[in-house]
Parts: sequence; C-alpha cells; structure tokens
Amino acid sequence: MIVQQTNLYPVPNDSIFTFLILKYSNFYLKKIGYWLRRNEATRFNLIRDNEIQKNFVTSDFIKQLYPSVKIITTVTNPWFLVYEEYKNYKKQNLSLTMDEFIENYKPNGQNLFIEKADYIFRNEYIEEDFEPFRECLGKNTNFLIGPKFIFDSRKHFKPNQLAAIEKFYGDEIERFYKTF
Amino acid sequence: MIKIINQPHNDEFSLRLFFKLLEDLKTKNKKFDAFYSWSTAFVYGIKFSPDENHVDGKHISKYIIDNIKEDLVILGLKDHFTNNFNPWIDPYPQLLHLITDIFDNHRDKKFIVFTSLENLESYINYPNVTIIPWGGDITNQMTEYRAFSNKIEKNLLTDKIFLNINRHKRHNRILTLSAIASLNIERNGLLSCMFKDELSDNLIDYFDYVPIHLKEHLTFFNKGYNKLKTYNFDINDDYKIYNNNNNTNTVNFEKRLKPYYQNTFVELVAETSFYESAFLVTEKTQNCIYGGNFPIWITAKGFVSFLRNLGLDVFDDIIDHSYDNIDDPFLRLHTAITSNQVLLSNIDYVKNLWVLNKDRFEKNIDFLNNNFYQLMYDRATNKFISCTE
Repeated sequence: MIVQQTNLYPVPNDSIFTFLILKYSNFYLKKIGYWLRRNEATRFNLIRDNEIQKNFVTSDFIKQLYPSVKIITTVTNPWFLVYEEYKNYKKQNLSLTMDEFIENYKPNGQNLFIEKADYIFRNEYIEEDFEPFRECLGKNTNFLIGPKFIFDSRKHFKPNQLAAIEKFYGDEIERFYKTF
Repeated sequence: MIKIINQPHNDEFSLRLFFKLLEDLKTKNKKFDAFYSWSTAFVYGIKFSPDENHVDGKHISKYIIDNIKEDLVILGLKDHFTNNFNPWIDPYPQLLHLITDIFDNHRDKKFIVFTSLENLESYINYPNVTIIPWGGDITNQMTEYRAFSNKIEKNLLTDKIFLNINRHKRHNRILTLSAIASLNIERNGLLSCMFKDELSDNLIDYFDYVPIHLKEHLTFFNKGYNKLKTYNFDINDDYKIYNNNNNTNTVNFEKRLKPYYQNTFVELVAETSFYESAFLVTEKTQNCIYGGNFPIWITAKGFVSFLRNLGLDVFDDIIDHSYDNIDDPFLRLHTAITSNQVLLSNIDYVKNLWVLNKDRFEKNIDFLNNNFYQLMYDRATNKFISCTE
C-alpha cells in the first residue's frame, strides 16, 4: 500500500528537494539522492543543509528555513526503531533486559518529525513507494536500491513486547504499517 | 526555476539567505531563474551526473546560459575565482570569464549576482548586473563558531610570539615564510608549511615571469626562501585536515589550531586573496579572532579597511596597518611584516600588550557573534530588496 497524500502528485518538475534524516531510518536516502543526481530533470534540484541533516531536526524546522523546498524522508517500522534503540542502549553497557527496557520506554516517534514532510517513503516498501515519484520526474531513470531492507520483528521480540510497541506507536502503525 | 549546481560544505548561512530572498520574490509574484554554485564547479568542473564524465567549468557556464528563460536571473556564487591569477599578465582572474560569458550571452536580461568576494565590482562592470556581496567563507559554520566561548586563555610562559599557518600553497604564504626567515625571526613563531615537500628549487620558479615589483624585493625574499627547504617547522600537521571531504573548520580549530593560538599572541594571517582587488574574507581571519591574536593580514589591498569599517577592532593603536593601502602586493607584504617587526620579535613587550588588551579580543568575538554575521545578512538583504523593488 502506498502511503502518500495524493495532492503531492504529480510532483512539480521545478521542485527543489531536501532530506529529513530520521534516526535509524535513513537507509535509502543516499540512493534517492543518487537517483535525483542521475536523473536529468532533478540533478540540480537537491539542497544539502549540513546543520539540519546532522541534528535530527523536525520537518517543521526545515519548512521555516526553506518554505517551498520539498522534504523527502524515509520511515521505518517502529519495532525496528525500538530494536535499534535497545542495541544502542546495550552498547553503553547498561543492564536492563528487553522487557525492562520496554517497560521503561518513552516513545519518540517519527510522526513528531515528519509532520510537514512532503514525500515519505517506507524503507520496507521503498520501490513501491518511490514509484509514483519516479514516474513523475524520471521514469527512464532506474531506481536501484541494492539489498532490500528486511526486519522480522517476530524474530527479535516476544509477543508481549510486540504488543507493547504497537501500543506506543499506534498512530504511526495505523498510518504506515497497517498491513505490516 | 532554481538550480543548485553544487554547494560547498557548511554554507548554511548563504544557502538559507539565498532561499529566503527567493521566497520573498515569489511572494511578490516575480518570475526569475536562479542558479547557486560553489566556484569550485567553475575551477575544477563537475560531473553533471554520477554516471557521466567530468566536465570543466565552461560546461557549467553553458548550462546556465542555455537554461535562462526569465528576464531576471539570480546567481548565488560561493567562494573565489582567482586560482593562479597573475595580475601582471591577466587583466582580471581568468575564471571570471566563465561568469561574464553568461552576461555577454544575455545582455537583455537583468542579473543579480551574490558573491563571497568583496569589491567584485572592480572586475565586473555591466549595466545590467547588480553585484551583492553576502560575506566570504567567514560566514560558513556560523552556528558552530558562535558556540565558542568568548573567553580567551593564553599560556603566558610560552616562548613563541606569533603564529603563521600555511596549508594550501599560495604565493603570499611562500613569500611570508620567506620574509620571516629572511628577517631571522622564524624561531619567534609557530610556523607551518604544509607544502614544504613541494617547494621548488628557486623562488622564481613560481612566477610565469618576474614582475618588476618582485624583482625589487627578490634578494630579500630569496634569502629567506633558501632557508625554508631545510627548516624544521614546529607544526607538521597533515594536509588532510578535513575527514571524508567534510570541511569542518570549527573541528579543525578546536582540535588542532586552538593550542597554537593559546601559545602565541600575534598572527600573520595569510589569507586566500593576495593579488586580486576582489577579496575573500575566510575562516583564517575568523580563527584569528576566536583565537585572540593581534592580526597582521597578508592579503589583498583594502582588506583591513573593510573589516575596520564594519566595526571590528583591528588594533590600529598597536599594529601598523598602513600596508593595507599599498597597491604593489610584494611591497604590501614586505611592509606588513617589517613595519610590525617589533610585534614579531619582542616577546615581553607583546605579552604585556596582550594582557593589557585582553578585553578587546573578547569584544571582537562578541562583535563577530552579535554583529558581523547580521551585518552581512542585512547588507545583502537590503541591497537585494532595493534592486528588486
């Protein structure tokens, strides 16, 4: 299922784009940048603002600086995000088990950041989500993603943990991963 | 239509200003074509696409020329255009032809050119072109620089008086090091020469032909130049200061340069511009201000006057900046060093001066943080508004 606001298509071919980078979710932004640079219509239509790209800012912040620039971002399923956060937590040699970690977990969802993003592509369905964008701006330029992003949440979480995460991120799941 | 041909790293100040002003134009329903580019695209060329061959700067000019449709054209140009400029052979920096070609091909259009260079009007004078300086590379990484403390600490026990750091090989840097060595004051300074291994056998090898102006000073510079090749420089940092091609001047300042500033009181700031009348104010000046050294600039004519007029304290009561008015670059460089020789030689005098004037250095940092960037922003904005109304 493609999750996009339909009024964003067709993509105006004079659009300027920038990336909103979300923690643990930016697997394909480089590939998208590469596509934009290879595609004749968009090769000079991408801006890089290092400060916003380094600091995990919100789309609202970006729009204040660049009101007419279109924001491209990629999102990932919340189970993966929690898994990555836990991995990161463990790297610091801290002691909570996954159950305890989830028990003490404070949601920090992608929804807070992407409110004003224009083109949101899901990592799990990147080719499918990117297709209408590609169709508008450069259907002759292939979108080569390389290895697919795969995360089997059932392998990493117990059923009660899956359910807890689903509770934390109900809105996000409803919006992007209803059928996940 | 807006096209971003390429960008330098950390140019948020100019990029945001560019888009802010274009947004304002859009709200006035004005039509325009806008192109933003780093001058390296013109100097070294670029790949139009990752799959295509590298093309030189002429193709970028042609791309812009071919894509101009509207009557109003806005060019946002970062950095300088003066690599290998020889003012005795070339009437103006060769690379500027790539820009003037655009104007020549569209004489019926109105152009607004944002530039990192001050005084670009000295080279470009077209009735249909308005030049708007938007601050040099000193504006890059404004946010990160602003986060630095305005408190300056020095090691008052150091035996070094001055700093002179030289990364990229440029004539003014080779000549400054030669002058220092010629005056036998090299041991008073913390010096670097990252191009030491590339030094030619003879100073004269750097010049396509020897301008009369240099001939007059050749004996003086030669004496020092011949010492450079065997000199053991105190600073031997790697030329590759920017990891992953990521230009982080603030990281370089914090991690490497800060100790050099803490152990010196004066700096011979070998800026990027030297021969050219259109000059660039860069992070080299910024580092000197944040590092709290008395600045003696080895750069283009009028550079000191520009900063003084903006409101920066250039320590006129301590430093003889009369060199700033001298046309001949070699005499300017020679005068900058020789007329301030006491500041490069008498350590107790300089340390005492520094202590007495410490608050002025801190005020200069405050000036940079609170006024300078805003002045650059307002100057560009006001000029843009007045020429687009």
